[in-house]
Amino acid sequence: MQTSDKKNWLICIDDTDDIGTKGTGEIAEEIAVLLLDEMNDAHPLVTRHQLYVHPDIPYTSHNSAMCFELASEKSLTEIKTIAVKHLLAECACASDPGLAILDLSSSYDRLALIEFGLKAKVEVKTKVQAYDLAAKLDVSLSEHGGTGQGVIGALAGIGLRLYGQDGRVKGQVKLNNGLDQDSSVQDLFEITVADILRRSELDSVVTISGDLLGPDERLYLTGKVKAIFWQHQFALLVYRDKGRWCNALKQHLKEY
Amino acid sequence: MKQILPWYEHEGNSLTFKFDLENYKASREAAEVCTHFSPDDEDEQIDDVPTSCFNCMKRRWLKSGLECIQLQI
Repeated sequence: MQTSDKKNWLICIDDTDDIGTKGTGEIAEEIAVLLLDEMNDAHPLVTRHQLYVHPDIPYTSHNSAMCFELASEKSLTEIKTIAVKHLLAECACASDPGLAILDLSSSYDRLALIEFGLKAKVEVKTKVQAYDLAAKLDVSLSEHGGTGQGVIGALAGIGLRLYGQDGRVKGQVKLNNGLDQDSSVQDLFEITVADILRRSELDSVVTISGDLLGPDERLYLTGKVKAIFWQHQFALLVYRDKGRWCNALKQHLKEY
Repeated sequence: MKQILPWYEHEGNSLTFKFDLENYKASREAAEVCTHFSPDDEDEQIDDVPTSCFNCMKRRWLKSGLECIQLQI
């Protein structure tokens, strides 16, 4: 239960890994857990945001940033200290980590951050641009090794999370009451939209055409069940196959 | 490296996928014979068939293509 002394934060990291090392998404999840006020608080879902791929941008293999929202009693200094300590311990030697932290209760310029995030998907941005914008908007932006180039993606990830219509959720959808979605669904699993919303952290079920499904629609789940960030919600993406709504394939999810 | 040359252009240290990024068949065929294939983090995979260059941690997305970086590591 969120109390009135908790504040909401967006935290984003980028450029923390190298080939064969722990992924940025995993490090983001670990930071999210370390930042929980109580052990039994719900773990924030991490969203992955694809950024521009271009010869002038140094990236390991895909150039994506990882972001999560945290409700916490901790101060900015406490949050940053914990996050930085973990980054320094876990980031790959050859990485260029960046960390961005936004106090969602501050009077930040949301549109400017969104614009930066959207542009970082289609054009080359610089560290100077990232630091300038962060300073102007009072976003905590810091680098923690290497060239520190990850500050660009970290700030862009904050903007894209604010945009609310970008990225996919790291990991697989977890259903309570009996089915642990940490592992894949081996057999076809039938469930209604209402049930899956009740039994998971999902907010909605949306088709690949962008239509919301009503609560009585039946879904057929198999394999990896993954979500996207859509209209500021965690949404299960589904497609029509042989007259049934099925969870999206990786080929569908790559567009997000 | 030689096994994947039917699907990749080889120049210096660079191996570039010859096909477009919708060609899942070619990506799977190459990965099947490649001795360097190693799956990337599941969240970074885009092919539902696991053994596919599109899912390999040694692939690097380019602006309009993919390169295999097995010769660079």
